[in-house]
Amino acid sequence: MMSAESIKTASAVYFTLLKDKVIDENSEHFQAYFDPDVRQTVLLMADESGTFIIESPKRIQLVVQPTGSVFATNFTHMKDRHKQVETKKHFHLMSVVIMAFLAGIDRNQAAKIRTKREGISFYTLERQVNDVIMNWDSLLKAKPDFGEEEKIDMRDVVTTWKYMEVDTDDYGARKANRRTRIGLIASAMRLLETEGLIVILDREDIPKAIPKQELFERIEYLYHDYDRYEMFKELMKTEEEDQHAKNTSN
Amino acid sequence: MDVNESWEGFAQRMQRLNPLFELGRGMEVGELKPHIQTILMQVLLTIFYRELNDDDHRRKSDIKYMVEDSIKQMKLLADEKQIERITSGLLYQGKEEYSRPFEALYYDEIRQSWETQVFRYVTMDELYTNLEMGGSIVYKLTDVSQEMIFMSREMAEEFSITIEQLYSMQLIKNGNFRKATRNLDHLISRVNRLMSREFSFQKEMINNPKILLMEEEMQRADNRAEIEKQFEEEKNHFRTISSLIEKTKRRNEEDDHIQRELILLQEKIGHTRQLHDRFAKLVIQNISYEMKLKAENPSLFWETSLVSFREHIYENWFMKEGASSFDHVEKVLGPLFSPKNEFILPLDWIWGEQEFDEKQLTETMEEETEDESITHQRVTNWGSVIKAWSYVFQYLQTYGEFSLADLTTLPLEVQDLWFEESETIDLWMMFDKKPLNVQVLHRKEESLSDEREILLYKLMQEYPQFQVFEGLKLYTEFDHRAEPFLWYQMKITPFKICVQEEK
Repeated sequence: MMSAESIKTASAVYFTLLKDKVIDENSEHFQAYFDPDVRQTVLLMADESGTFIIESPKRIQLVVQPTGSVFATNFTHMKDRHKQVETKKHFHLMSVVIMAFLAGIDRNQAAKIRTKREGISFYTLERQVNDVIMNWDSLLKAKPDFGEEEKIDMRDVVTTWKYMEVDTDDYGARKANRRTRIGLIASAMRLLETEGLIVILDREDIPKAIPKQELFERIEYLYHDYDRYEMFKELMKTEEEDQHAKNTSN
Repeated sequence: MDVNESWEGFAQRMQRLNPLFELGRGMEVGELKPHIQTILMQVLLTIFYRELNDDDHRRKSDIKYMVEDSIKQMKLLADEKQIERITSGLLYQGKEEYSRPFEALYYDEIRQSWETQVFRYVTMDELYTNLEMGGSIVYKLTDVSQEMIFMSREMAEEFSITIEQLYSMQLIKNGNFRKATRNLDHLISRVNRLMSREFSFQKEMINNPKILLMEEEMQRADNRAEIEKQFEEEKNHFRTISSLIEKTKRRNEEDDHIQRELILLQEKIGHTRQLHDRFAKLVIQNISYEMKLKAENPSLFWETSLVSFREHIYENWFMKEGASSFDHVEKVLGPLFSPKNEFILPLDWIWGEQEFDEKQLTETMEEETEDESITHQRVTNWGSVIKAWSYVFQYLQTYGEFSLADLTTLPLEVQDLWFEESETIDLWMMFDKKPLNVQVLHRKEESLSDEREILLYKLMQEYPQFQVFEGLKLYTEFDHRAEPFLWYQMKITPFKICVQEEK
């Protein structure tokens, strides 16, 4: 039975999470959360609003569910702002950058500690993204029909990237310049920075992204769990089937 | 046995020498080539002493000055390009953009094979690099380069605190105080090193408690008792040194010079002692933290992950199969982000959070009266203000300027936005006041007093792409071409908001 008292505490915890994204062990809400009744209620509220909670020994974090939530995020916001055809592929490219960055830091413990100390420079990231795109490029070449129908997304992204300059010589224009690869990486990394997941050092020189513990915890929770992995696979499958159904009905 | 003793510990010897061999190798610096190692060694020493003196001037730009300075001191000449090259050559191997560590080969006599050694001369000093605020990396020496410095003092063998201690005592007895103080520097550095090792273990333990179960760490636990014993000895030695100093002091009362040296030495010993105490505290803290982790989170120690992002999602799917639809990518990445809190809570929820009262009836009465007083007080709906202004800043971002006259050309629904809140229009007048240097990104909202700063702060929070305005200057210019115009009963003299790039 949930008491009025625990519902009250649970709301306080949930709304603080909503406001601050993260509650760490120094917060009064951190202790409160681990009361079984409160935790139950918070999880219920999270679920009902299309969000979920990541627990770790030092902090709890609130993130949205892949199937969407009643809330917007910085990520979805960014997407909305890139609705126009011209810049949509830029948004996709930024997703590729984030994917490459996550893969770059999701490694064994020793390598992880090294990345955490040294970070990943934007130029190194550029090489990694380039590897993916070149891989896709040969995929598209080997299967010319790959680009047909719904698969058009990838070709667009590949072409945009390939004809994009790495960097400009103009230091002032370097900042958030969607026309260069480094500029694009800077925009993608800024998104993670705003989210409080990375720190960007040496911005004016050779910028590096240093992952924070919060990010490792999100990766661990989101992608290292077998059930969640199955869920992602399922999500992709149903979507593809939907699309097929739509195509045949046309 | 025909084992040649010259092979004994060969791999280890080589791993110690390699950093020396590699120092400054392969740099294109023309006529400076024969001097490069001497210059770099001097730079390493400068960094080393700054570290000892808690001086954080150890950023890349500072290292550049050190290079420049050493070259000048050594009566050599170098141009900007050579200085740049030497600086980056100490930080990375090869192209600077990739920030690669150094690599060298050595022969492993036990495995009978060639192995690669990976190392750096300098690394990030977490204590001084302000991670929360971004900025630049403060560098410190790695174990490898510290070793080079010790080696160059013919103290190559294991640098134990006790040997150092005896050495110091010997020096004091001989009256060589200056050398004794210098020697304490190395003692300090040794403690600092142990401390940073302990510190990174603590961090590692917090981040990944599983390491506590690894073989090495079990061994570590055994070492704990020894560490503590060493501390005990430490303190005894300090006592001996202190009393020695006191004695020497009394014996040389009339010699000012010796007195001064002795006071310096005493201060330094005090400092070293404090460091040891700090180290001891850290060690004990780690022990208790370890206990706590084990007791409170037993599950941490047996859960192992079956899937990884890198392998299962990135390599096997994303890279191999490509993205047939980016909706999938979004589904994968979406949950990485926290929700944005945009809706305004109903009043009774907020109040419910603040107080809990059983007498609901009387409460509602009070609430109503309170409600009235609140409506009299004007509350700005910043959401609307920001939305209206986002169009202006989008313009500014693309074209570098925005004329007030352009307001009438915006879509009608955007124009409507401008009248939802009076502040939206009032802010125009604020921008006409004086130029604004945008510096809000890393500040707290409460610390902002200028309405324009609050606007920019909120804009950046809402739309991360507007963070490009950080550091730029916003100013206004009279728009000569445009006539004053009427816009919904408002007569407006148009001016332009412009952006000035930082030089």
